[in-house]
Amino acid sequence: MPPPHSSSTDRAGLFVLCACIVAALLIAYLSVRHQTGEQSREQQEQGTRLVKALTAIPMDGLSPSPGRPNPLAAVLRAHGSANLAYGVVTDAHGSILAEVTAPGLVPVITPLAADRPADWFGHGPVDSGVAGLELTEFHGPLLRDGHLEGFVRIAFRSPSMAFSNTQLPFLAGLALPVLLLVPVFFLLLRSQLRPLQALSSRMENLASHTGTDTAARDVVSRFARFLDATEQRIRELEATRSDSETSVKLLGYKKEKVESALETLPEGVLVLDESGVAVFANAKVGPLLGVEPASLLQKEPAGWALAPDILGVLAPLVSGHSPAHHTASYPPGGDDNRRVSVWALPLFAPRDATRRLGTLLVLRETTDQLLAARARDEFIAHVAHELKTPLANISLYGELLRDEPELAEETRVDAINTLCDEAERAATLINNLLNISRIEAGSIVIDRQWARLGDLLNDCMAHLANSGCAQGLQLRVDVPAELPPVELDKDLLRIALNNLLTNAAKYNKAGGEIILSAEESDERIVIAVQDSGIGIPAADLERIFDKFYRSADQEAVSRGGHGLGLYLARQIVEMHQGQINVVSQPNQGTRVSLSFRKPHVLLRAA
Amino acid sequence: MKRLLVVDDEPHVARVLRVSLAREGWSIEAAQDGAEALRAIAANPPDVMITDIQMPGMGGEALCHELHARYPTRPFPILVMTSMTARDQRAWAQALGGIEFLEKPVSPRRIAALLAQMLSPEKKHV
Repeated sequence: MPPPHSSSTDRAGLFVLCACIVAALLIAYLSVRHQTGEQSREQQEQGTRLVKALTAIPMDGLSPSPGRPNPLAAVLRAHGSANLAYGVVTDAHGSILAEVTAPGLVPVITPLAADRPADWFGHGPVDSGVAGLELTEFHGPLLRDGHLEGFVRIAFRSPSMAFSNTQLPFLAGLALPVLLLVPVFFLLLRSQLRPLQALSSRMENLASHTGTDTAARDVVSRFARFLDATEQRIRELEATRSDSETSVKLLGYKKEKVESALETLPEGVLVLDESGVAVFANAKVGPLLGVEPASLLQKEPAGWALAPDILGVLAPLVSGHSPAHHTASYPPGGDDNRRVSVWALPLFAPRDATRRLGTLLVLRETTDQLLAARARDEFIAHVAHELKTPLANISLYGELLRDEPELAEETRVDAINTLCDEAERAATLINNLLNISRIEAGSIVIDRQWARLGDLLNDCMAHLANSGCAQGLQLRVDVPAELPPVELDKDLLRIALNNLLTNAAKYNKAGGEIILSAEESDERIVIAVQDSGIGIPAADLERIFDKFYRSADQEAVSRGGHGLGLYLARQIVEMHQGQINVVSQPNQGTRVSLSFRKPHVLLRAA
Repeated sequence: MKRLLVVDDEPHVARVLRVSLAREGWSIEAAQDGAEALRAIAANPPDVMITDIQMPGMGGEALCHELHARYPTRPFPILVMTSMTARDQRAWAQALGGIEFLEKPVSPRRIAALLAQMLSPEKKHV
């Protein structure tokens, strides 16, 4: 179907064609006019210059004379100009003295106003006497001694708008491409406009509801739907991109938070992905495994540069995909006094316990627990041994007394005394254990009461005398009568002093003495237990207050003991913010002193 | 007269056995540690030795190893008294051989029975 509005296209094309031709002509006209203007300007300069040059020549030089038929002609010829119409020399009244005229011209020379010097120099159009020919005259005065003698007048043909033969090819060359381009533009325009015209005509049909062009309506509605869908899709993509950016930022933030938390944990944390490759290791992993944490990343355990024994412990934990928890431990650096424990925990997807994401390895130094367990085992073994020893002796002597009715009296007394001593030893040990346990657990709170030291010390010494272990020893209490009351926990202090007095008796010599004394200075009260016994070797002095420490000295060992008495005494003295000191001379005796600050000193310190 | 060497840092076992084993025809010697026991054995080997494990200086375990080294064909059995759980000590004792265990508290009658058993012809050199 031909486009119904093709005639309007043709009209438009014609209009464009005409416009192009007019434009071409306008260009040609302007070009020629510009050229004419240039020529007029050049002619004016030439005329002015020539007149000035001629007025500089005396009038006699320009007028004909015998031998010089026409000097003006020679001068004008020398300045040669194709457009020169005429040149004349007149006297002041206008009579022509010399004349040069272009062929075919009869100039009409009108006299110039000699009485108006302002008009002597000038130029202007003059009548040529020939139709269609315009002349421009330039004139100037000829002076002698300041008086006007005559005029020099030169006229040129004015440049005209007419086409010269030389201009024609140039103009034709300019116009031709313009005229040739016109149909090309027209055809291009027409072919480009056709589909738009078709669309436009169908739109108009629809707009006018003619209902005849259903195909067009279909196309348009499809196009509209396509546009809608495209816009919708672009909006969705934009929203998705924005969401993704937010998610990435959020994930980055969450990852930083999680990593920061994992770095802060006191344990070493190592995360393996589902293929067993290490993807995270915090800094604490380094010292526990003895490698740089970064050297583990992106590698499977087999590729970790670990000590073979550590790798041997770790490898079974991370191999296989058993969901059971595993734990193991190893001595780092082969040091059997240190221990690192490793827990391997399977990581599952948050909402899908069947999908394994990898493995979490937690490493913790458990040396403290190892040492505590060892100390506990040693303690229990030691206590059991210490308790069994007096029980064994009680059992031994008990059976002897039961099975041997015919015992010698000396042996019988000896046996009964030993029974009593060993029972006392066991009881003391149990009491000390209980007291130490309470003090260490913090369940004993110091209960200070005002007490008279003299009474307390005498009590303790009486207890020692009655226990039977101080037989044959001289016991003395040395307390100044004016000693002021002191504030302390009497029960605890009695326990400490009983242990010290028992030691003083146990490690004494036959017929030795024990002095329990107290003395007062400005700031302190010092209680001392002095014996004349076997003394303590210098090597042992530093450690005698340690729990369960026993001297290896043969003499001391032979006298029993369980290594808790001095430890307990020190604990009790320290609960009173006091100090315990020991001075000993082997084979001469030992002095243990307890030093307490007086109440006012304690208050001042507080 | 059969001779029994008691090695213990405490005097009580030797003292009681000296009374209760006298009728059985035993003479009792006492040593306070491993070193003293070695000297006594070097001077005059006993028929049986009873030793404690925990002693200052040379303990019971070291004493047994030393005896095994010095006298590969030791002619007397050893009875080890311990207040520790005997099971802990089985390994080294079995390696040496000829060592019986006696856990504290010990009874003089039980010791007498054990000694008789150890010295019977069929149980000699356990």
